[in-house]
Amino acid sequence: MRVRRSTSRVLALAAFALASVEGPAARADDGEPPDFEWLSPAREISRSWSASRDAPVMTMTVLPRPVLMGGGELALATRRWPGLTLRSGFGGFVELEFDGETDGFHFGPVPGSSTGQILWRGAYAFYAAVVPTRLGPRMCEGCALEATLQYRHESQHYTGSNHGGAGDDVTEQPYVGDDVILDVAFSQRVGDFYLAERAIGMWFLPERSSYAGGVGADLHARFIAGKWVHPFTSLYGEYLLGDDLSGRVYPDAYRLRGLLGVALPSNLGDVLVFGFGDVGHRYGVRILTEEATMGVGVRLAIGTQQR
Amino acid sequence: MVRSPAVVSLTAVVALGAAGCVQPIDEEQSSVGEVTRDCLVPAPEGVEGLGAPVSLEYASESLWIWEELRLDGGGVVPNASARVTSASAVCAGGPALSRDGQGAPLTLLALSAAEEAQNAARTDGRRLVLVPTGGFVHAGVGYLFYDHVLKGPGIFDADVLGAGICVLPEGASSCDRVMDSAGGGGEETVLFAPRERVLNRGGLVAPVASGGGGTEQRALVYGCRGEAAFLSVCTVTGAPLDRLTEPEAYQLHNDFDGWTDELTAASSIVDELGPVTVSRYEGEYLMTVLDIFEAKVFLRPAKTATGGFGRRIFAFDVLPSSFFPGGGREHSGLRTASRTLHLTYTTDDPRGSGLHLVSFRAFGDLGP
Repeated sequence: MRVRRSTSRVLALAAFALASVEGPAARADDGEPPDFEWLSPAREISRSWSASRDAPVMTMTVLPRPVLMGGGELALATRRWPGLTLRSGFGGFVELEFDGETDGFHFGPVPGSSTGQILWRGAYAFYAAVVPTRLGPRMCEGCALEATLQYRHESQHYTGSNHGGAGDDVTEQPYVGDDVILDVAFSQRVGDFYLAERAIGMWFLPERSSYAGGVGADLHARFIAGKWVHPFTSLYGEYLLGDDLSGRVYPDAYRLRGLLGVALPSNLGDVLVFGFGDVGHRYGVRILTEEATMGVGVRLAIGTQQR
Repeated sequence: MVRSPAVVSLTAVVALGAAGCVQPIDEEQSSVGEVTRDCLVPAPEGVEGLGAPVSLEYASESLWIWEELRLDGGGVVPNASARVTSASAVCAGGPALSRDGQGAPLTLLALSAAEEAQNAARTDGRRLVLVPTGGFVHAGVGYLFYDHVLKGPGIFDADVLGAGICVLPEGASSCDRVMDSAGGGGEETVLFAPRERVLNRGGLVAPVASGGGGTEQRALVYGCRGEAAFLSVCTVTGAPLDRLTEPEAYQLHNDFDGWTDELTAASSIVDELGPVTVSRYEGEYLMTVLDIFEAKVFLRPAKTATGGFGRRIFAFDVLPSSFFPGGGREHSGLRTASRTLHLTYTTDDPRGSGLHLVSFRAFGDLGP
């Protein structure tokens, strides 16, 4: 009976929330976004341009290792009030990375090849983002401000031998696990440049991760004078504090990564073609390895908007 | 010529792509604990240096036994011993050797007068020595296993004649060798032929499954034997607590059939080439392994003392040695905190040549 009462409350609250919206007819005819909409771009200030490899977005790296990420982030529901927009949605990815360096090229959708072991990781996140739509423009013309809170989970794996070979012992590798992430983003136009900055704080759930917390910073800058091509650069850095998990203590981790390339904008999003350089700890079941790499990749940043 | 930013960036993309490279920086490790102390144990006064001891582990002290102790004057004391009650004290001042009234180190495990006479009468350069290999403590009484070894004439020449047991009563400074009464051959102290029982890795008293589905306390002695190159089979031998001085009471453990007299019917608990020590740990059991090839110490937890030891968990590095690190015994009698282990080993590495005592604090559970 208790369950039934709780369910009724949830349904009542949902009905109230929907009733407060003026219904599908609320879609504006005057170019203004509607008060409410289902499935839409995830954020006011997109994360799809980030240099972070944790940004859930369709990405393929050809060098120095083949890396394929299928992922995305979308708002499942968006509610707009005068002066405030609230989005809530879901993000996630599956990333495959060859452990060995790219040792050949061929035609096809995945041009790089490697004989290395396949490492993969998966992540999902639920988030809520709030945008004070009047505050941003009040701070500066063309500016936007957004705060996002998300609950994220990440696990890492590898593909073992198909022929009876021994498996790897990866128990000493850190486990990213579950965390709560708060980020605050700010964007502005400066002449023909669009800038987006993001400050990130991470708190990992005790006994659910090899890390305790972390901070990160994200910067995206692009030259938007052209109609078809926008040169851009993205920089990302993070520092994670190691913690103990199941009787094992893990070291800190850091990552610095920069992208430099061109964005091909469209109504659907951007195609990013970029070269990158990074230094710090790897991902997946190789987190304890510290290295520096340079390479090249391409990304389909679907759902970017509001520039 | 002015180039557009798009052209510049595209050029950069191509250049970076062409430079696709990986530069390794470091490989880090997570850890299940930390080394809280690694000391060089000072040699006692009048002693040239300390080798790696075997030991008997009491509830709150460890009896260290050296097969051979070289004195400053050139003499050699066989099977000298010291009761070590504190890791920090032995690190600070060295072990307090058992000595006689004149201050000379005592021999814990001695040859009989007849054996001494036989050694003296030999002309082939060989001599009988007693080599302690470890044991267990029950009700305050130590049971030490040792090998009868015929050494010489070369430095590496050694034939193991068989194993014996000696009993060290509470507070005693000499270990009484058990005679084989069943054979009727007089003063026979070789109780186990070399391939009859393997008893060279120490032991403990622990509950084991009994035939009726319950448990019983048994004295367990671990042993490892080489069966092929780089293959060392380790087994468990056990005896009821009321028959600890009867060689025929010591049987080998088989996971399915219980206790057996056939060495080849015993279950293999691990394959470890180096020294292993099994001790109680947090209500369960822990095997401490010194890998002499890698110069690393690993831990292998188990729910029972008779098997099921898990995979190796790296604990800490030891200094390598020009041959192999020596010793590698873990001394549970020195634990003052339940998760802090103490291990001795020897090395000739110039960074710290001699006998080391390492204290290692585990952070928590050692699984999975």
